[in-house]
Amino acid sequence: MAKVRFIPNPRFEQEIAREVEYVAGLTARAEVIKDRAQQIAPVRKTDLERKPPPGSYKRGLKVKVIGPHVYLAGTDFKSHWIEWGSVNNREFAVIRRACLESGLRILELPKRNTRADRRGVIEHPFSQVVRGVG
Amino acid sequence: MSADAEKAVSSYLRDHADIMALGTRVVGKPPSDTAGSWIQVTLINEAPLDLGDYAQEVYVQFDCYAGAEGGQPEANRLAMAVKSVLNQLRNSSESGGLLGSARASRGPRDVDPDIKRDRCIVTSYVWLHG
Repeated sequence: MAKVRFIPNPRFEQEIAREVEYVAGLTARAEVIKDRAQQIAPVRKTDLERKPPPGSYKRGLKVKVIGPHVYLAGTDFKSHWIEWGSVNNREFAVIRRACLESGLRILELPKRNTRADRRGVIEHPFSQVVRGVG
Repeated sequence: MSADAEKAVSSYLRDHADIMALGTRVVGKPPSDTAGSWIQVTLINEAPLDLGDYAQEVYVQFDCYAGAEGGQPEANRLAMAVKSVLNQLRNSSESGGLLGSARASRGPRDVDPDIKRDRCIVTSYVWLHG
């Protein structure tokens, strides 16, 4: 039997990330997590006559594809407070809980996305931050 | 018996020499006196791994608030200490349960909009027993 020598490709992950199917797979996964996030997103029950109506945070949860990266973004201005909380507001951790409940493990980036910071939104790049555990 | 993750982790941090040296408080909700720094411990979620009641994997958020005069440097110092202390954790028996180990990472750093106080967030997986 011929011996076969396996040589790992150090650029394997980068090459896979360039494939169309890779982004499509991440996007499909992110859509499932977005649906879960919208189920558990807090919506104020009062002021139903208010314009715009309650639920702007829930409606603001969107899946975004930027290059090879797929993000679940909270585009409403309250997203940061709802995710991380403040002294007067509990942290609902909607996106993180949706990720955990979907069987993913969260790896926080050491620094926040500065571009997203300026817009007051949070973005979780699935291709970098969240990897499946099984 | 299920472990009380918040209680066990808070107890571990509170009694650790590196945290005590910083002269900060480890609390479950914002303290009434906000002049000094504090670390707020919040259980976010128990991960959906079926480990039974005895062994648990939990996901915890640590809000490291600087004191009135500390600013961003103090929030950073607290966060680095919390991360370091958690990553050193190996089998510690606390009043809320037996802590196995933890994996902590630094999260966002911001200014709390309600009290204009610098805050650095650390999140961690913690594995513990009842």
